Amino acid sequence: MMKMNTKKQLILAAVMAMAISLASIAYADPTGGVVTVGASESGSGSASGTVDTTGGNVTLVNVTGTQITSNWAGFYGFITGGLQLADASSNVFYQWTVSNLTNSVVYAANGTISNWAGLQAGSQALAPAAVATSNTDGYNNTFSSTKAFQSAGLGPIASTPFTTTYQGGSSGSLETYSLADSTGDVNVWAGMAIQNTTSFKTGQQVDYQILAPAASSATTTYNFYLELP
Amino acid sequence: MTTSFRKTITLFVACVLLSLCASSAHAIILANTQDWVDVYSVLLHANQNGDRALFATSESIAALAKVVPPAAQLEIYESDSQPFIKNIGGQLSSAGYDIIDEQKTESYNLDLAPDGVPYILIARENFKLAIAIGSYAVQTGSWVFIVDDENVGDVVQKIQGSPSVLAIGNFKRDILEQIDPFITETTNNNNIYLDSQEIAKRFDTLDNVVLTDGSVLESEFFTTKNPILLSGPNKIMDDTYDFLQQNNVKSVVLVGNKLSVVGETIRSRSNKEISIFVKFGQSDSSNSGKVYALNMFQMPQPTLGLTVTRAAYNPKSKQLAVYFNNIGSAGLYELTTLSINTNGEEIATASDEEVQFLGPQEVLPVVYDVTIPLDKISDDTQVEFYTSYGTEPSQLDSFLTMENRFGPPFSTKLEIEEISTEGLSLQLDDIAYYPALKRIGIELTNDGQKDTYLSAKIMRLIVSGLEEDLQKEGSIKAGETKKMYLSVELDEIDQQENEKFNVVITYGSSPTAMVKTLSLTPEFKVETSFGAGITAMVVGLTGEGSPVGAAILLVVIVAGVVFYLRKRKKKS
Repeated sequence: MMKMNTKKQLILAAVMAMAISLASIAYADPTGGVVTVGASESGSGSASGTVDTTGGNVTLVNVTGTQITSNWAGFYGFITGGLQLADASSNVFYQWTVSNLTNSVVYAANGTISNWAGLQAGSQALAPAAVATSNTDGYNNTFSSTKAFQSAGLGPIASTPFTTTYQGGSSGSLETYSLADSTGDVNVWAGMAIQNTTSFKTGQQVDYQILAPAASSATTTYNFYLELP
Repeated sequence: MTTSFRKTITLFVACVLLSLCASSAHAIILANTQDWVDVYSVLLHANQNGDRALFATSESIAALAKVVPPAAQLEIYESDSQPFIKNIGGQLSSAGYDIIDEQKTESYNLDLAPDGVPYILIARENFKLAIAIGSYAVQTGSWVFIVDDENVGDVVQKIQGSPSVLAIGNFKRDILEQIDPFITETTNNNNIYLDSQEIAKRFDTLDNVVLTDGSVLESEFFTTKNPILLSGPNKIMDDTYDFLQQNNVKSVVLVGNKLSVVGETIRSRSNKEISIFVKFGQSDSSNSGKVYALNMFQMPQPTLGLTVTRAAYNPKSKQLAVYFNNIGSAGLYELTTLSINTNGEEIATASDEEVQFLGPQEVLPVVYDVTIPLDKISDDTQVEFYTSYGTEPSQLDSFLTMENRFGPPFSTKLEIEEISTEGLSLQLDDIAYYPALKRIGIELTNDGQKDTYLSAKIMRLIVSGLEEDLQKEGSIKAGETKKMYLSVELDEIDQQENEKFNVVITYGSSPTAMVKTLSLTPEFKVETSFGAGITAMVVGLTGEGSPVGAAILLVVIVAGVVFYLRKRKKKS
């Protein structure tokens, strides 16, 4: 039984690692296991006060054909980055002033959090329906470990489910915690930031990686918050 | 019942249920307008009805397509006269979106206003306060009217008879006169930062607040259940920080990553007792892992900019002349404390005794009396400025910084220069308001020996019930008397309420050496005599005190007299 569970977890971990590097993952047809590196994109600066956008690069990795899960999405990149919404005419890209981001936390929330101190540990019961299953990639199989969540200003929130995403092709130290607001209506996925650390892709660096459920309805998007250390 | 029939029925029922779910899902409301008041109104309306709202911020749908989910149903609210994206419905349909409704109007602020709800009134110029009231309006079901000269009549029609009309901030007199009979409550500290704090106190709890500099509209201001406080773009006002401390605020959400310097200041000053969360991004609609910048609507605020072009020390007079340059499009006030350092060692300090006003694009030399030991001055000597500035004397909400830095000080090299002020002298002969001209006339005499350049200011003049500052530059030759006119229209109540003219004239031998100051507070005076009428005609014809205008007028008068005399002669 133990060996079966371990084998399942390893398979799940590998699947999760590939899920992080998805582009239009949900729409890829299963074929072989070819990984294609997409174009690097960087936000372009404008106006006074906007400088050095090299920190804002997010490289898209398309996994074409490998069988993957469509229920999870990975958000990753540099906190110094923020892609402009396509056109350069009105969205301005600003340089961050935070000098060292280690011990910061990036939160991805599918709604507005009105009481940060009231955040609670997430659970399958509070998770979106698409992942609140007993499937291989269900919530409990993905966020299978628990420990106290603590940030610079929040917690400790005891027994918070978390998962660790891959770095450089193997198990890493970038953790994603599952939280919820006090009403249970808003899911919050917290990624502990480590400045300029190896990402899931060998040779590429990031500040954070967050695993969160893919948009399960026509109106779900995530807002991203950085908690200052 | 056969198995296949059962399966068919099950499938059919499932399809019906799914279609019901899809059609009952909330649509996304999309504002397509260049007017911030429309965007504000659509956001307020949507959030009061539990709908999600987005808005166009450029002429292309490409940006919207990245964050609007492909399966979303859209209701488009478009401005009749100033949409951002032409034929947005057609473009979005072609892109595969389901447009279920399209509306067009000139004013969503009036058309979306419900009847029989509490109302909140804010002047159009006070857009920052409109942002600060957003979450309160959603929580209380209040409609916010953004009032200006054009819509005040329509607003009055809507609010009369309402048991709850809250007016926040300042209004021009002619607008205030029309809405005043219907106002049941007022919040006005003549300071938008204090006003936002008063609004915040209406909330049950202050554990969590949102902080903004009021420069953009973003959805958080309507979706949050927390109060919204105002901040400077790179400086937290002392009042605001004290409010956070006194009310034991536990967490602050800053909207937009450019406010992170404010967040770090709060974090540091509170000894990390206040948590700071910076909202900086949003996911795209296809779960590709990309994090985009927030969807933010830029508010139409004046461009404020200040720099220091030179700091020159005159060892003879023991004066430091600092040349402040207002590089923006609006007048501003500044207050400075400066430190003179050589290789890290402070060798002298100085500071303003009161705020200084600079008109748009004005270079103002401010002179400080300070003794700098000459033996400590070297090529490495720097002047460091801790300068706050803003659009109101009591609301200096920005720090002067070096380019691409986010906090003070601003530094510049110390120069040594002897600026001579010998032979420079100006006298104020007269000052009065000319209603026929809609101008204030200042008569000056240059009783010195040198031609003089000058900047004339009238400070804190009451105009339409609100205080304003006027500024104009000019020059006077040695020995000449000249009248300068500053345009302003004062109504009868303004003329009664203004008791004095606060006149400040800076002058010097060149535009970059106006280091002498003349400050006076003569009694306010209105000039309505026949002489003033003639002056009005002359000035109205060609400009201020123009000799051409005077000549034309003289010709007209002479022609009139000649015509009268010849007619009289014919009769006789």
